[in-house]
Amino acid sequence: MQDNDFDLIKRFLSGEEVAFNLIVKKYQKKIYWHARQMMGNHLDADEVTQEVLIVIFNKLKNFNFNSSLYTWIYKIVTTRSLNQIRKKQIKRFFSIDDNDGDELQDKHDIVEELDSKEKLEKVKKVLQKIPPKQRQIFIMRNFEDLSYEEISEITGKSVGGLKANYFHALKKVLELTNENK
Amino acid sequence: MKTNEEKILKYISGQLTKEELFVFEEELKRSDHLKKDYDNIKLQLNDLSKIKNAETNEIYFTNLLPKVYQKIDKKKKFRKFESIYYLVPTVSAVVVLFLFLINTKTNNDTGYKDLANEVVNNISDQEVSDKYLTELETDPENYVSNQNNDELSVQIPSDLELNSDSYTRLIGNPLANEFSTLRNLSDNDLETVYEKLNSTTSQKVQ
Repeated sequence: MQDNDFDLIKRFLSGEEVAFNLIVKKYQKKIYWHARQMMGNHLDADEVTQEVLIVIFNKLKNFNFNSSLYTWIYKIVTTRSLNQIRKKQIKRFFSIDDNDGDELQDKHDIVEELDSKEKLEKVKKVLQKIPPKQRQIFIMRNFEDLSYEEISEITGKSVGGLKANYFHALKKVLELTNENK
Repeated sequence: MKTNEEKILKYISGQLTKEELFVFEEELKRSDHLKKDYDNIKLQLNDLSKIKNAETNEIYFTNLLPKVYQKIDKKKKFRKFESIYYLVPTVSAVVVLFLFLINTKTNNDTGYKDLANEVVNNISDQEVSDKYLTELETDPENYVSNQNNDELSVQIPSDLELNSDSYTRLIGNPLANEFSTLRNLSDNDLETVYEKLNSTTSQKVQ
């Protein structure tokens, strides 16, 4: 996978724009779903996804081939998602209206099947109540099946610190799941 | 459940040491109670994780790339005009600042003239007031600047003694002249100046 990714980057750097399209096709869903779980709604996830793809397009020329493309992209997604959450918190702090526009979100949502929608809503209710950094590690461990070593490379945090964070995240998630029953 | 939950979560999150891990796994094999709690927690977590296979509308992902290219093109276009975008407000700010400075200087000169006229008109001696007015109108800038250096003392009668505080205020003020400085003198200083002028020039200042 890594050789294939490196090959795509080299092709892109030599001017083949098609290579970028292939990178996007390969990673767009992973990017979207990480952002979606972090943000809890489609519109914010869409904004983050587009932003991340633009960053990839602009910064790929600086890729140093020391890490995998997958890790590099994840670094961008996690940073952008956390930034977006902070921006929203600041906006909410200064805004009198605390309405997230649920109707608008519903209209644009790309998850249409009712059963999936319900499950997603259930996850959202739990995840949006835990701190963003714990949410981040919970998503990476539970939804993306990443190892602690991979998460450590992406976030720059120690494995020990990540384990402690995941422990607290699990505890809160279980607590909230039981509350919502 | 609570005591088991702590142990189970430490196990799942990988926080147990080698020895603790061995003890926990042995207990898990033996204790039905612990096994039941463990399965329950795993079930809850797996239930949440099921969503990763949610079906989505593929049109969104098909349209994503064109949308991204559109935004990239927009940014490229903006970058072309970026320098102009920032240059226009910068130049405007410089022009406004320049106009403001010129305007301030003109106002100072006008203010000075008005005040000077007012004071000079109050001098009863026509010859003295005419002399001041002529100097002021022919070369006002030079007249103002002359008041700002040590030559000021030449303009003041030699036996007019000013205390050090008044003198500092006269010299220290960049736009100082004897008329505007008069406004800044204390009542006592003003009285002293008035009396000294009266006695040394023998002209009645009204």
